[in-house]
Amino acid sequence: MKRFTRLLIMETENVWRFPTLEIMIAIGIINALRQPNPLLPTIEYFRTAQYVANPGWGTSTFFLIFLIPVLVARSFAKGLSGTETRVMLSYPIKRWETLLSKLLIVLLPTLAIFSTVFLLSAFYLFQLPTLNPLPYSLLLSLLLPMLFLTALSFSLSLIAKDELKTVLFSLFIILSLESSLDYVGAPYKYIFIRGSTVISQYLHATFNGRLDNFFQNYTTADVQVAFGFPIITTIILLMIVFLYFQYKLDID
Amino acid sequence: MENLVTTKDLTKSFGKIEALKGLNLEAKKGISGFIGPNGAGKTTTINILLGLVKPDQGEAHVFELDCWKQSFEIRKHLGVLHEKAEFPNYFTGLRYLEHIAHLYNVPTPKQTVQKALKDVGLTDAADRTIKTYSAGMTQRLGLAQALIGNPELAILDEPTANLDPLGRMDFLEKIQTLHKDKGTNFLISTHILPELEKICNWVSIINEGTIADQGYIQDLIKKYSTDTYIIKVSEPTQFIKKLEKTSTIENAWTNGQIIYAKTKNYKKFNKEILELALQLDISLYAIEPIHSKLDDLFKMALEQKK
Repeated sequence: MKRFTRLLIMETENVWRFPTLEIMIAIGIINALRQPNPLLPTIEYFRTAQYVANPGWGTSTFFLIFLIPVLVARSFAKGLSGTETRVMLSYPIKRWETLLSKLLIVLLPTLAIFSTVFLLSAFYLFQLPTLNPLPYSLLLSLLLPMLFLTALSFSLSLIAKDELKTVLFSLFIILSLESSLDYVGAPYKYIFIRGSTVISQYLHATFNGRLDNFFQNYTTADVQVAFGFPIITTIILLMIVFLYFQYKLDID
Repeated sequence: MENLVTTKDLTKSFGKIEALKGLNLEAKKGISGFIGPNGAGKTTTINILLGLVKPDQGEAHVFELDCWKQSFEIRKHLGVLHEKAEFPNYFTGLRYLEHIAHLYNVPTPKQTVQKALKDVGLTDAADRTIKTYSAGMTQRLGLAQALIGNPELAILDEPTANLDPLGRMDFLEKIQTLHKDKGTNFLISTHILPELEKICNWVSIINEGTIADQGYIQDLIKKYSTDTYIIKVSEPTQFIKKLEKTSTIENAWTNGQIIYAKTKNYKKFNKEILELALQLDISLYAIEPIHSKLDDLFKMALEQKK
């Protein structure tokens, strides 16, 4: 445990350094600039409504889409492309510990930072009450695509073994997945970021007891796909990554 | 446990490339050399010993433990300096070594790190980030991290590659001192042979994925040296003409001052030389066997294998 904790500290220091922090500050500034003008209640109302209806395409989500592949590439793919992983695995560290530390180092700080930005923007910029379930349900709805994106980037790192290729492939797959789904009939187009819209509205309707309204626009299959796709694909991808890294991969 | 490292019929292919073709390596306690030309399979072997690469067939053991199944246990007692090793660039040398000391559960990490930095001459650069280090400094940091856990065996892959001549001499002295003082054993992979000759007690020669020869260095030197002699006479040109016709000589050549002769029969050889010198009335100053240097030995082992 002591060894694993040290590994986590080491990974954190290695990955969360310049310019990651600077990018996060920039995102905070962009979010602040989106502050609704109190003199224009209609626009404020409009923005809040948009925020509820379409969280998948907010600034924070874009931040997430770019940040996660970059972090995974920096932490995992870069090590595989050079000798860094070989050096690390020559110390008394188990392979699964290395993988788990990299996974946690990408997920936990991102989740913490992202939640902070998200909730602060909900409470202070959109002036929602702290007990309002809306921001929490939105946050939960974005957690699933975030997990999926992490798993995808880890899988691509193993294939590409290159920092830049991992970022590009991840972005290409995520963005093309979103675009190509326009040509597929419902409910399959709700599998990724638009799926988070379904999840957030479903959770919000559940908290407010307005599920009837929700099902006027969506079906049960939409909800199942929106929840099921990211969960199942994340589990499958992470299992493949784990088994391949633990038992098969030659670190040469 | 005389053998620290043993491999038996080890094979490994990467696609169509056969890196190892039934390698039977041994490394004894002490300082062992692992020598071979580029692409011979040295780094692949080291990666297998560390559990980084899974062999296709055969066995590999370090401290009598299986290198793939028990690699974690092995690595607790092992220090490694990889060829062209990369360390996280944004760490300072001090911070990186602190982390590594903790990973090895060193009892007094701070003092150990300070001593390690001093030993490799990086005390002044301790607070600089690794990305500002020169190639030689990175190599010295590599040596420090390999030895920080006080390993039973240190595997060093091309350890002197980026060091200047003075740095190389220091490095070799350091290895000898560590072996003497702490009993650290070393397996050193290199193609810079004269350096190894000074410090190794055991040498394994690898070529094209198999062991060409291995043994205690003095035994190997004897093995490859016993039949070639240096003959010093007053008239070498005249002497060699007759020498070539004698029955015990397989081959003879001269550089104008010294005659080199390879004999088929060592026992008769000395007698024939003396008789020939008397017959020609030429002064005979010396007959001495050539003691091969490691690079001669390396060439001969490879040629014999072919």
